[in-house]
Amino acid sequence: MLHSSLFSSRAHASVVSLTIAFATVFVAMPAAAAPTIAFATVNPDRNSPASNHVVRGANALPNGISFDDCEKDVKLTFHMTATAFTTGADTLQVWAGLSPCDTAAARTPPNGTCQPVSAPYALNQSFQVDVQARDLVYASLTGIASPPGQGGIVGLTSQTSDAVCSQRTASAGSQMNVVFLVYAAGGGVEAETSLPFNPMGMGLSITVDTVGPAAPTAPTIDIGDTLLKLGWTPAGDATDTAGFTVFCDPPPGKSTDAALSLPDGAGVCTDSSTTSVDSGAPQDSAPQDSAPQDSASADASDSATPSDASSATDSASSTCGTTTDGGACGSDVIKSNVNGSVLANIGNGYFVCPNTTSTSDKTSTKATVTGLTNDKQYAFGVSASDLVGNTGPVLAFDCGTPQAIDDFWNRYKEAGGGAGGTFCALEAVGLPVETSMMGLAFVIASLALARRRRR
Amino acid sequence: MRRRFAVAVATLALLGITTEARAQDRSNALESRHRKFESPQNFAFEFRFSPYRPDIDSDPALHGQRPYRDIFGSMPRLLIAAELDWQAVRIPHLGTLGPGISVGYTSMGAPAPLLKPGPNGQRLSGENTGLDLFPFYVVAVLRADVVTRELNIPLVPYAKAGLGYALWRAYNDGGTSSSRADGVTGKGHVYGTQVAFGVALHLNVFDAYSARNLDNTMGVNNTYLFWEYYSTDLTSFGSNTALRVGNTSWAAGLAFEF
Repeated sequence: MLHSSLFSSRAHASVVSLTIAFATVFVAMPAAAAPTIAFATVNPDRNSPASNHVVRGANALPNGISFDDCEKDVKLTFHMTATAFTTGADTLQVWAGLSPCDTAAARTPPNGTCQPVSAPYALNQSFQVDVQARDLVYASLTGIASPPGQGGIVGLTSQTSDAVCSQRTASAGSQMNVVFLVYAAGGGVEAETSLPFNPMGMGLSITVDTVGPAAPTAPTIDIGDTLLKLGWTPAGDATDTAGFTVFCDPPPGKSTDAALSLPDGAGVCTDSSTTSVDSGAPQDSAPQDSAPQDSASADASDSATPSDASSATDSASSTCGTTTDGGACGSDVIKSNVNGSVLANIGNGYFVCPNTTSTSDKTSTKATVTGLTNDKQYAFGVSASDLVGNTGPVLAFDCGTPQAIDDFWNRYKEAGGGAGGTFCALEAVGLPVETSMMGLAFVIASLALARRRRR
Repeated sequence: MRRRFAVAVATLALLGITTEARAQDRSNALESRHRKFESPQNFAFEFRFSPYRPDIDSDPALHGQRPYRDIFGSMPRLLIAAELDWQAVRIPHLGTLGPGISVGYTSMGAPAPLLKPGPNGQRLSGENTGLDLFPFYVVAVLRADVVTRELNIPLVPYAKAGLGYALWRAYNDGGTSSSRADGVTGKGHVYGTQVAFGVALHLNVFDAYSARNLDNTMGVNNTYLFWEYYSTDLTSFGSNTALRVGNTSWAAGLAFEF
């Protein structure tokens, strides 16, 4: 199953903070004026060859590298300028490592661990330098040594496999340095002490984070009229949490669509054991559920599809409203993302709940999902997301079924009360009643103040 | 020896009487000056707090059903109110008389019950249902401060009578409620009568110096702690389309005359 292949075996990703220190180091520096390099743009371009690359959130760090960036091998393109260089002679290469890389020893085995993360580039007045996300992540791994080459220019061995994205076992971040080095013609062994070190005077911070925050805990779900209220307790590192994402299956207003390339039955709340659901309930006739594919997939009878035996087993053995099935009332797409360390995507965002109260605060502990259909089952999951856009593993909720409520006013009217419907003078259009009361209090206070001034 | 002792006692007694007389003179002089320079007194202001339980279930149209108690229970809620009186007339040897206006606010909320039991048999939803009330009244207020002024008893009995009015709104998490049966929205107003009787404890007598300072700096002549029994009969004079949000209860608070 596609979603299984996407989200399995990602338990060993890690967080790495990369601090780019800009230095211009000249190998066999001629006596003439030293070249200088500079960035033409503040942030590099981000290009991904994959069309399903996760769109980074507005609050994500602009230069962050996430697990999905590594999976899709995002390319960072730095736009640069150079002056006082020797055409065809001066060459630039980018190195990165856990420790500063501006010394030859740091780029030379066996003690050096810095890695080249770009191909050599000839200096020009205006040129581009490409750095692949996987190469940056590889350079952050511990236990690797610099390639042979005495700290000079070496060929780049790009990481072509996404296996590097989940190789780190430590969840703690690592400080890393990236340097842009300029080698004079001839290259060779760097005479470290005799070469001028030319800090660029520009700061650029890149955070590489390949692990999502831990899943929240303590799920609660409260029933409302065409809405459900979810509650949870954040469990991840608050400093690495940007907010939370609520997933629901089926998403209100949508139906599970074969166009998502999901297997039959996947992503469908398949639990049929909730006895409170009225078989003649309006879910079959509700407008938002009228799509043919929904009626074919959301019904419990479709859960035991031949192509998804595990789904059928889960749905047959689960009991909605209890935690014996791990919650999520049999939704494969949510339950399959309960474990792991990072969640790259769920159906390209298809299962992200619309009509959900803001969860962009890292201290959020609740969300209200509206626009649901009464008497229809929904599966829910909540994940924490971090500052670079990783979504952590999912906390699965018990199945939720919104129902009609019976408030005071309806009790009163059904008992025979005849009041209501008249204009409420203090409830101005668009303003809550409390606002009008504050206005009245302000008028009284103003009168009192005016009287005192007269005295 | 005995004679010297008698003279000494007499001298001390005379000195004591003299000292007491001088102190009394100073006090009287201060009191006199205060009376002389006392700021004008035309208004009274009350901060009021009261337990409030609307009489909604007393509506005969409900035929004995108690929707209010079923949802919100029998525990009264707190009413917070303010009242401003204009002491337009001073009646000699009785007190002040004038109109007063009050505005208050109270609210009651509770979890909304489900129309039918939930999957686990639960009967309450995660939504809230509530009722906001804004009681107003306009009354004539008679404060018999003669008891304090002329009898030196720090109590002021008073009475109020007039018209009451209230705005109300029933709501749930989705906003103002509307009836499933006929779509009538849960908001409206109601009016009726307001009467109250109470007594106020004159606090100036406990700290006359501070009371004078309060008058000099803020213009507050008298401060009271009051308790009253009141009845707000809000039925729109027997209308069958009124939400009976009146209440009969007690209220207490602080009052200031200025």
